[in-house]
Order: sequence, then C-alpha cells, then structure tokens
Amino acid sequence: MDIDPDEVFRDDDDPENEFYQERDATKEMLVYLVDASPKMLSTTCPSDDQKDVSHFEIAVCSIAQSLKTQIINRSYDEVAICFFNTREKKNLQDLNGVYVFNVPEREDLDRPTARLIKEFDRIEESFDKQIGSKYGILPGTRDNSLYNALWAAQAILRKGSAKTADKRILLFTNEDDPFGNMKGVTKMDMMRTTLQRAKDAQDLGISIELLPLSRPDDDFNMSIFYAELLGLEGNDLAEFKALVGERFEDMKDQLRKRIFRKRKVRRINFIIAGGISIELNTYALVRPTNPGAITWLDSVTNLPLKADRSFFCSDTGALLQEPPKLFQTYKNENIMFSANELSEIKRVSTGHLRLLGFKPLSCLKDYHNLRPSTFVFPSDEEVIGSTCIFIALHRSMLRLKRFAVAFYGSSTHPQLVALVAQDEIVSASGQIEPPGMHMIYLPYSDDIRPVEELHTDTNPMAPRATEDQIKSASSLVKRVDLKNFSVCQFANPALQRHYAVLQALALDEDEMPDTKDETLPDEEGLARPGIVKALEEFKLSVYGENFEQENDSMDNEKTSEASKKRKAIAENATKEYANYDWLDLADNGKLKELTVVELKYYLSRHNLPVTGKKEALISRILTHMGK
Amino acid sequence: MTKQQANWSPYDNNGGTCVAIAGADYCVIAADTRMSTGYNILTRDYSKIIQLADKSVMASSGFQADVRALQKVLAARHLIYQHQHNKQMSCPAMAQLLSNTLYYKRFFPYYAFNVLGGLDNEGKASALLGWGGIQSQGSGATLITPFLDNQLKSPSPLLLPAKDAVTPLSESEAIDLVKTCFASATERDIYTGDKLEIVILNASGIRRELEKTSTTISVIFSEEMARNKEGLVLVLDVGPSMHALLPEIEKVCSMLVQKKLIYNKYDEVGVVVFGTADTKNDLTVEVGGYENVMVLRDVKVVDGDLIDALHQLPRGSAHGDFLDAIVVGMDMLIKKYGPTNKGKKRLCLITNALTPIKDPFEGTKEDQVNTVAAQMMTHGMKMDCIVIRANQDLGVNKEIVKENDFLLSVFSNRSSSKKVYVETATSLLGALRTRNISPVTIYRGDFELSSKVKIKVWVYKKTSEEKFPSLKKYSDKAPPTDKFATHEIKVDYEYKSIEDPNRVVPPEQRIKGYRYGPQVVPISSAELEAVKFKPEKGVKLLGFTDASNIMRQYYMRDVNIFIAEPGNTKAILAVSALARAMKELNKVAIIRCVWRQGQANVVVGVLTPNVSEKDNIPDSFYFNVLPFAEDVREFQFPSFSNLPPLMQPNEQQQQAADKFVQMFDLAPSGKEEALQPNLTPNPVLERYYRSLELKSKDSDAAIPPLDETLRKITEPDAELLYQNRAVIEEFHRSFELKENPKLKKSSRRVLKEKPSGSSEEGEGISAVGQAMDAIEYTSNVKVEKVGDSNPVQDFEAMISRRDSPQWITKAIQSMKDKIFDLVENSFEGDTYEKALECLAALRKGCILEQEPKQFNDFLRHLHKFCREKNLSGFSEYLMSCEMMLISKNEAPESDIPEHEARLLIVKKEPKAEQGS
Repeated sequence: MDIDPDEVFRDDDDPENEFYQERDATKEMLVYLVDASPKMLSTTCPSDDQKDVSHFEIAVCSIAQSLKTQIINRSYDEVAICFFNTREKKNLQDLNGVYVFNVPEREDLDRPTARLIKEFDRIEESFDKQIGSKYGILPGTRDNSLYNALWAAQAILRKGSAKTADKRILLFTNEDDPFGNMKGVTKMDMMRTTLQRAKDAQDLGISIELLPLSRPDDDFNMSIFYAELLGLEGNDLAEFKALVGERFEDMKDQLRKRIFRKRKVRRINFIIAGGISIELNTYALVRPTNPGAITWLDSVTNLPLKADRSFFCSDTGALLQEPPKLFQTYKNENIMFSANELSEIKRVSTGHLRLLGFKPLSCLKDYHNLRPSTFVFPSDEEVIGSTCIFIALHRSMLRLKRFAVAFYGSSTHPQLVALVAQDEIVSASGQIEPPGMHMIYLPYSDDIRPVEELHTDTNPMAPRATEDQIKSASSLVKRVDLKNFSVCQFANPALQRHYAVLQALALDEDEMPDTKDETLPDEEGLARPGIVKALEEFKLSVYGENFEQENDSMDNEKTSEASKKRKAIAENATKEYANYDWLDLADNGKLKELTVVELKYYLSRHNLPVTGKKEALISRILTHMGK
Repeated sequence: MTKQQANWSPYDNNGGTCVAIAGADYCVIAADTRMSTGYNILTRDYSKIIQLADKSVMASSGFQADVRALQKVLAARHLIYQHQHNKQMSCPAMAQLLSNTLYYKRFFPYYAFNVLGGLDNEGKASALLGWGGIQSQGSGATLITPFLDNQLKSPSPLLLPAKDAVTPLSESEAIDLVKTCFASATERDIYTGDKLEIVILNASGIRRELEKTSTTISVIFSEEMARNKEGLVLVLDVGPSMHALLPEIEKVCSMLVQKKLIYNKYDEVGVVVFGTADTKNDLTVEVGGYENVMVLRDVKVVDGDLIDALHQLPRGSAHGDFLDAIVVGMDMLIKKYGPTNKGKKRLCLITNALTPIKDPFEGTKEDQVNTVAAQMMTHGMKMDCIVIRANQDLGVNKEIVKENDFLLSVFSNRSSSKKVYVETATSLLGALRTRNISPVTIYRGDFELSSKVKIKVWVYKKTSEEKFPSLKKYSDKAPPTDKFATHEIKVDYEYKSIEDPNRVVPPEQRIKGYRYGPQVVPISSAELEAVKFKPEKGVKLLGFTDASNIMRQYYMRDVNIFIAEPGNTKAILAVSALARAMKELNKVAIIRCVWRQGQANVVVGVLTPNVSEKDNIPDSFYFNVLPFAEDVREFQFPSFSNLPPLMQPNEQQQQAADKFVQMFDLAPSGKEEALQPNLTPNPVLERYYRSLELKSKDSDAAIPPLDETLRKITEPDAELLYQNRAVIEEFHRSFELKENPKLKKSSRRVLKEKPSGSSEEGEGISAVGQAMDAIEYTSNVKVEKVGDSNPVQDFEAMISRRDSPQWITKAIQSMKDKIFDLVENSFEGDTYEKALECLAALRKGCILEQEPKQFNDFLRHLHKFCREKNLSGFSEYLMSCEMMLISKNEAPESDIPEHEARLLIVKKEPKAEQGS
C-alpha cells in the first residue's frame, strides 16, 4: 500500500500544492496511556447537562474525538490506546495492571480504523466488565503499574525508527503522587526504577507528555513526582499548567487542544532593518480540509492500482523520458526555459522574510487576501534574543495599531505579506487565540479586479440609501444578531457527510447515516416576531409597498399555468389508470403491447419519472411492482 | 405502401470564391485554394485557376468534377481551334466558347461558376461574364460583390450612354483590393479560406502570387477571438518634465503589449505621444490645431514591432496638451471601429499633468472637458488616467496642477474613466493594469435575508491571483524539417494492478476508493452521487455579528464582491442601506453560499460593507470565506507574559521598538502610501516577461536581474532606511542577539539544509553574530553608477556602500558629472529642478562623508561654468533656492566660515572667482 495518491495526481509545477502540503512530513506514533484507577473514576466535575462526569470519561471522550479528527486530517498517524491501573491485564509482556485496548484486524499500534472508533465510542459500557479498575500501587505488593505502563508503551513504540516517526506517550492521570501509599526503601526503589524507565524511553526518542487533570480546589502538584519524570526544570515547570476546569466542556476543550502536537511548517529568518535577523517558526493554523485524494482500485479485486505516467511526443508519438525543457509560444516562436532558469526568475529575493516597513491597520483592506494566513511565533532555539525582539515589536504594533509589510521570498512563491499582530485571548476553556503574528498574503495590482467600476452608473449619482432606509436596516442588523459567534463553529457538512458515509461503508452498515447541516439559517429564530417585524419594515422602506404584489402577480401567473397543466395530467392519469389491470398485464408480459402514453398513466399515478424510452418505462414499472 | 422515389443527386458544391477585376491594361483573377464539402475541408491547396489560352485565364468554383470536365472540354476545343486556325484563341472568342458550352448543357448543366479574364488583341482587359469590369463568383461572391461595387463605384451596364466598364484603379491597387475583399470573405464564409491565389495578366505577360489568408484553421475560431478583442490607445506624455519617468513607462507599456501578445493576440493597440516638437496626427490635417501630438502607431493588431517602438519612446521637448492628445486618441478609435466594439475601447493616459491645457475658442475648459467626456460615453469608451505626482514641491505651478486635477476629475465623474495618482516609479509600474480579463459572475440570484426578503445580487471575484504562466513541456523528437510541429508533449496515465505490473486495468474496471484510516473504501460514482451532500443553490443570511468577532487571519481564500443587480434600483438601494447600516454599527454579516446547483459543498463566509467613495459607483459588499471547524488547528502557544523575564523586553527596549514601529513608516501622512497592493506590480512576473522578450531576440540570453525599481518591493527602501538610521541604530543597540551555543549540531544541520547559493548571500545563522547589514546588502546589488531615472537614490546607495572606500569618491564624481549633464542639456530650464535635487543630495552626502571641499569646489566650478556657457539662469535658480557652500559649522573640515558660505549666493562673482 505504498501508493501515495497525492504524488500521482500532483501537477509537478503547481506551487499551490506545495503550499498546502505540510513540510513536516514525518508521521506520528502516539500511545494514549490512560490512568484507570478508581480515583479517576470517582473524581467528577459538572457538565452542561447537569450530569457529573468523571475524569476518566473526560479523557476517554477527548481521545474518541481526536481519533475522529485524525481520520479526517492525518490518517497516516498510528495510535495505541492503553489503560493502566486495571484489574485485567492484556499486553505482550503480560504485565500486571496494564490493558492495551484493541480491535480485531489491527495491530496494537496502527492507524485508527472505523472499527476502533466505533468500539472505543462504546468503551464506557463494557469497561467495568472487560477491563475493570483498581489501584495499581498499593503497600505490600511489588507491583508498579506506572512502571509497567511505561514499559508496555515503550514496547508498543518499538516499531519504526525514531528518524522517520515522532513517538509520543500521552499520559492522562489525576494522581500527582502515585507512590503516596508507599514508604521507605520500597518507595525509593520504585520511584527510581520508574524514573529510569522514563529516561530510557526518552533516550530512545520517545517523548512523554503529561495531561494532568485536577479539580479547582485540589491542584495537581507537579513537583511531587512528575516534574522529575518529565525532566522539567525551573521555567518549564512554571509554564506547565494543570488542566483545571470548572466544567466538563472546558476541560474537554483544553484536552483536545493539547492532544495535537504543534507541527511547524518551517523555520524562517525575519530580517529587520539594521542587520537584525531573528528566528521564527511558521505554523499552518488554518488550512482547508478536503475529503482526501482518490485512490483508484481494481473493481474486481478491490486492490489499489498503480498509476504509471508516460510522456509522448505529440508530433511523432515517440516515448520520452522526463522532459528537460519547457517552452512558451511567443511571437510565433517557441521560447525555451530550463527548470533552473525558471527558478532563477522566481528567486527575486533571498529566502526568508524581510521587513519593509509598517502601516496603520486601516491600510489593510478586506479584499487584501489571497490564501489562508500563516501563523508565526518566535523561537530562541538557535538565535537567542529572537523572542525578546519579537515580543517588543508585537507589543508596539498592537499598541500603535499598525501592521508590518514584509517580503516573503520563498523559492516557489515569493510574495508580499502583511504581518498582523494578534494578542492572546484567553477564556475559561483555555487559549482561544494564541499570541503571535499572522502572515497575510497580499495581492499585487494585477490580482485585484476593478469590478466595482464595471457597472458604473451612467448617471453621475448612483442610487444611495436614504437616512430612513439606513435606519430600518440598522434595526434589522441589531435584531438578527449572532451572539457569541465563533469563526469555526460550523462543521463542514459536505466533509462530515463524506466521512460518515465512508465509515458506514467501511463497517458494512446498511443504513446511511444522517448528518446535520449546521450551516442552514436558523428558521425558527428568524420567525420570531421581533425579527419578522424588522424584516418587514426594512422591506417596506426599501422596496415600497407595491413591490411584492408586482412580483407575486408575475410569479402567480407563471406557477398557476404550469401547475394547472400538471394537475390536469395527474387527474387524467388517475382516471385512466383504473381502466387497466396492471398486475395481469405485467404477469403476462403484455406491458409492451401498450403505448407509451398508456404506460405513463401508471408512472404518473405512482409519481415515478416518466422520461426515457419504452423499454425503460416498462422496466421501471416492473421494478416498482417488485418484479 | 407509399412509393419511394428514386433520389439521385449527382451534384456536390465544393465551395470557393473567384474574383476578377479588369483594369485599363491589366486583368487580375483571384481565387482561394480551399476545397470543401459540407463542414469538411477536402484540401487546403487546390488551385481553381487555369490558363486556357495565352491571354485568357479562367477561375471556377462549384462542383470540382464538373469544373474539371468543363476545363477538359474547353481545352479540347481550344486544341481543335489551334489546329484549324494556327493561332491561339482570343479572349472574346474564348468567352463565346465558354458561353456556348455552358448553354449547350443547360438541361444537365455543369455545376461550375466561372469567371474568365484576359486581354483582348489590343491589350485591353476584359473580365467577362459580368459587368463593370469586376466579377466574382462562388460561395463568397455575395459578400464580395457589393463590397467591390461600393469600392469601385462601377457604373451599371444598363446606363445609357454606356460607360466604360474598366476600373480606374492601378494594378497594385487592384491587387490590394482583391486581398482585402478576400480577407473579409474568409472571415465570414467557411468555404473560403486557406490561401489566396492571384493571377495577374498584363502587357508584360502573366504572373502568379500566392498569399496566406488569415483563416488557415477555422473561421469560427477567429470570429470568436475577434469579438472579444480590445481596442486600446496609449496616450503618453513625453514632455520634458516626464523624461525621468519614461524608462518606467516604456517598461510598463511593453509589458502590457507582451501580455497581450500571449493572451489576447487579437487585441489592437495604438500609441499617441504628446509633448513632442513634431506634430503628426489626422486631426491637425483635417481641422488644424492639435500641435505637439504625434501618432506613433495607428490602432493595429499587437506585434513585436510595437514592443520595440515602446522601448524607445521619443523624448519630447515641447509642452503637450493632454486634452488634445485624448481627442486624437478618441478620433483614432472612432475612425477604426465606428460604433462597433462597444465597451472594448479604452484609452490610457499617462501624464504628470503639469502643463495647462489650451483655452478653448468658446466656453470654459470645463465645458470642453464635459463635451469630450460625453463623447466618450456615447462611443462606449473607457479611460484610465495615471497621474504622476512626484517631487511636486519644486518649481511647480500649484494653480495649474489644481486646475488639471479638477479637469481630470470631471472625466472620472462624467464618464467611465478612472484616475490614479502615483508618486513613485514602483507604483507607476503597478498602476497600469496589464492584464485584461473579462469578469464573469460566479453567482446571480437572490441574497436571502429571510425566506420573504430577498435582494438580487451578482457576485464577482474581487481578487484572483495572476499565476505564473504554465509552460508546456518541450519535445525535441520532431524532425527539424517539420515546420508545423507543435513540439508538445502528451501525458498519459496507465493504471496497473499491483500483483501483475504488466496488466493494465481498463477505465471501466476501475473504481474510486477513499482512504479511511488504513482502509481504502471503494465507492462507485453512482453510489457517491446518491449519498453525497447536495445543497440547494442560494445565498442565505445566517445573521450579523460584531466586526471584531471575525479576525483577519481567518479569511481563507481570494475575495469575492457582491454587487446589487445592475440597473435594479431597488436592489442597489437595499444593498446600500444594509452596507451603510453595517458600517455605522461596525457589524458584519455571516452568510452561507452555494453558488451553483449541483455544487457539492457549501461556503460559509463573512460580508463586510464597502461603502463607495465615488458618486457614480453603487455600494457593495466584500465576501471572504471563513474556515469550518475541521480547517482550524488549535495549537497551544505559551503566553508571552508567562515567558521567563529574559525573553521579555524591558522598558527601554520596548521604547526603542515603539519608536521603530512608529518611524519606519510606509504610509506617512501627506505622502503616498508605499507598496499599496493596488499599485504594486508582481516582480516575478515582470521579470519573467522581460526575460521572455530578451530570449525571443536571443535564445541564449541570460535571465536579467530584478529591475531596480522593483527592488523596492523585495527589499526595504534605502531612502527610508537612511532617514530613520538613528531610530534603527537605537533599536539595534537595545537588543542583543546571539547564537545558541548549545545547539552547534542543529545549526549546522540547518545550514546544510539550505539550498546551495543562499549562504553566500550572508543569511543564515552565522550572519547574525556579524550583524549582517541589510543596507549594505541592498546597495551592494548593482548601483555602480548614477543612472538617469533616480540619480539621487543611486547616489545615496553608492555613497553608503561600505565594501570599499573608493565608492565615496566614485559616487561624488559621477554625481557631479550627472549634474553637469543636467544643467548643460536643459531646455529652458526644464531639468534645473532635478539638478537642484541632485545638488542637494550631493551636499548632504558630502557633509555626511566629511568631504566638504569636494562640494565647495564643485559648486564654485558650477557657477563659473554657468557664466561661461551663458546659463546664468541656473545660478539664479540656485540662489533662489538658497543652495550654499558647506560651512565650518556643518563640517569641521570645511575652510569656509559660516558668513562666507552665503556670500557665494549674495555676490556670486568675486567669491566664485577666488575659489576657482
């Protein structure tokens, strides 16, 4: 299955593709390590629908959600789900208190399948029966379930080399002191071996991340044990914040955001006048998601096909290797360019981002946009001091309400960009907008079309709304207000439908799922008397009183004529329909002796389509009768 | 049973057109060479003309087999005649024979339409089987005959007394006329085309010409092209004050023509220049006046010569009147197209509008402009005015500028013309729209506020990226002898099964599969069609929200514009009311759009009001696509306030940054906003088209470097850097950057990852420590002499070069030369103002570089030079502008005390004497 549909269908010199493709192409291997101890199950926080939800449910719920997102966005990543502090055990090493959750036809660490998602959605029902929960580390035993869990996770992640894959363990727990019940030498010993185990894993290129859950009144104390396990010191530790949520929804949101790893698109240098060059990382926070590329299959075997591309000379039909030269017809001549020359033309500036100056934000018009923006965030990884300069500029730009204009000299698509500073926005459910700058790709003069001038009015004055009309529009605007609108509150109905269908097909389900289109207008809301009144007033003030009648009368005439005709046909069909014994005709194969007009009586009576040739009509009738 | 009739049709019509024109002592017979049947072309190279005798030639169209039979019969009869009479048949005799032969077969006629032409025994020509010395036959005859009648005004043969039938045209005129009428016949008649064969009979014998007609491929195709063609007249100011900017104008105009050559090669372009000493236009001949306006080229189809002509625009020496030039341009368009081509006629005026237009004979200037604008409207012309406003502070009559501004704004209010002001050369390059795309709506229909209230709108694209042209792959397999080789390459995909790589799976056996995790789920097109998401076409309002809710970074794609249905006053009012209300309340509308029926997805986006500033343009909305939940990745980033104190700027650093952001300003008040997207050209495409032109002349030409003017887009403006050097330096001092010592290994990795060649440009990590200087970089590029277009900038760039000390001397020297040039070559002082600018720059540079003596000596020398050459006007000009020597106060190395510095100005003579 090494066929990569993207590669097959990619137009070689389409820079657009390159733009949307993420550069960080390594795949990710992720083990969700979920603490299933009774403490996780018993600690609860309130949810919107008045039901208390346990920490364990929060963890499971967010994992389920991220699996679904992963199917859509990054289906190449591999995941494993592993519980520890369990009653039952199921793992390769046969370690106590560790249960690796899996479904048939799937390796422990594999890409998520439809079945996995489906079964995992139902895990809470079967959890108690199948897996069970108990405290793993208790005095008097030498069982160390945390150690076992790390070991099992590490063993799962043994697959694949650390060079081509990002390996991560995500640990969900609300126990800040796993060895709290232990004492003396045993505790020291257990802690030491566990830490060693974690360190070994990290040496192998596996990063361990902790998602600590805690209640507002009972803080998760990192410094008791986990700081050491994760190797956090000083500043990093202070940065680390436990997930605290009053409500289940907030906590789920925070968890969802942390599960995904930040993938930087690339590192660039930002050259500021005066010889300062700072280091920035770019991130693609907003990119359109498509329903994935098509893989062609052999319809007989359902096996994927390999696409072979070949080049032919269109004059002689000779088979060619990859053509070395490109040409453009100009003045009846073919002007040749080599690939090198073309990339030389595009190299109008040396890579990186070069600051050209600042402008007030009002200079950035709404139509100055071409593509999704890119987020930039400073990094001190290689050039110390970058962050400091960046923050200083960021604050000044926010304060002075200015944006920076810079030239981004990428090799394929050099472009003028606007850098707009965005302040951090935080709410109860965590960070809503990260602090940093957004790189907005600006159009050039020939990219902007003077459409407004296209229909310039012949009068020197175009019609303008009067004060009254504006007033009625204002009241309408105020009425139909979307409170708390957030930019990405709608799921893409086409995409949701597509994946729901795929999931149903993958699981061989007969019934096609129904997906909800959230993007339809809220008819109920619009029907509220206040809004209806505002709409009526607006209509009255702009269109006047007679407008509707004019329109209606026109519509009526048209519809009435058509509908009258349709009605007459239907009536006639019903009348004539009774004159035939259809079943008998069909059984004796005498349908074909009827005329098309006669056949249509049956079809219109049963509201079937009446188009097509006679044979088609007959077969349609037979199908309808169930024969 | 109805009786079936025998249906026997022995005839076909193979088309073709023949024309003959008889002159006093010559005869021209012409026919095209296409042979077709129905919609098929049988051959493109079939001669319809045959020589029957020494002095008679026949061209025949119609049914080729009958034509051939007729020709054979005539040839046989002519042979018999020769045997019997021992001489060639004369032309009238041949005509008689032809007539008899055709009549003899009248009940089963030869399906052939013939024209016979020749010279009689006295050498007088006759085109027979017709009247008036002209005759045409065949499929295009109905098109050609009326045209020729009209052109030749040939008398009716029914007139009494009979008039002479031969045409008064000369032979060459007649041939031209034949070519013209065939050119138009080929456009309209599909049976006529390919090549035109012309046979000319005269006293000296018989001659044959073959000419390619325009329609070698398909008549329908060329008609389609012609319908969309644009007629454009470039009206360019080349007067003295424009000289500095002409190189840029040459660039942008030839770029425009180049793009037309590639994308709209049927477009027609004419060029008018004004401000020239010479006068050459039709109007000056016809009505007089219109001086200093020169038609450089008539409105003709674009070609390579036009580019060459635009590369060398004449430098005019007079003051031109832009209104005259506009009228000349309009006259050219009207004469060329008449009332046709509505909406596709455009004028493009580039001027600095510094000279007044002439007073009209009656009425005011405004009335005159109004009349011209009204004419423009009735003829469906558009006009783009690009007004250059550079250096307007020096020696410019403000009154004139104001008046001209007013007059030009009358144009833009009264007709569909647009006015753009530009201040810099860079924005001049961007101001002329070089791409000509006819806009297409992506949606026409209702914008539903609710199911009851709807507004009729049209949606267009507002921005759309002009892509780098996609070049075709070149195949060198075609033999060099094949002149019609396309050299193109076809790409073919074959799908092979993985188990058996040799087995190709046919298309009907393939099925689409979509990836779902590790599985690939097969789904047939029919299935997919049945279950996929099918929204209804329409644009629906979801609601309004605060503008601050929609952050700029969420705009996903290129931008659309919603305009009310043109001509629908109610809709325009509704849009206007909503837009103004939204603007007032600072709200935006969230809408859901399905542009077409059958579109498989919906788009949710935001409408922002666009309240029009121009009176004759209605209000509209901009539409931006917003992301769906799946499109957003919510990564967490650390808060800046949570970062360690070392990474946070302190008070002093923050102040330096504030100052820097404040001062490094691209949009200072009172000046043009630099790098406005509307006025910024695409540097990559400009470079591409320039190298295309170079390569068309010399296929080995190297890729030219990026144009100097365009460097302002890719690099910070040197002038701006220079003005703010103090602020920048302070900013630089406030912060410390150093390489991370812990990360030796990874930085090496990064360096290695860089494409080869980028390291030499001094970027990358190593450069940080050495404080790589962006100013140095820019000036390093190519400024090695002081050029014509931007001497001041070149000088500044040169003098700030730090790679070698000799650049300063070199810069000063070449600036001096430049100033001398300017003063010496000035015409009535038109370059003085520029020279003064250069002098001021030189003075500034000399103070900065501690070279006061250089300047003082030069200034004295200049005064002396002026006196000698009788150019005292310049000395006075300098005086009036208070250009003085560099005193001790300004530069310690100067030997001139403060009071003496001014002395040169007050009593220039003695001081200058002493100094030099």
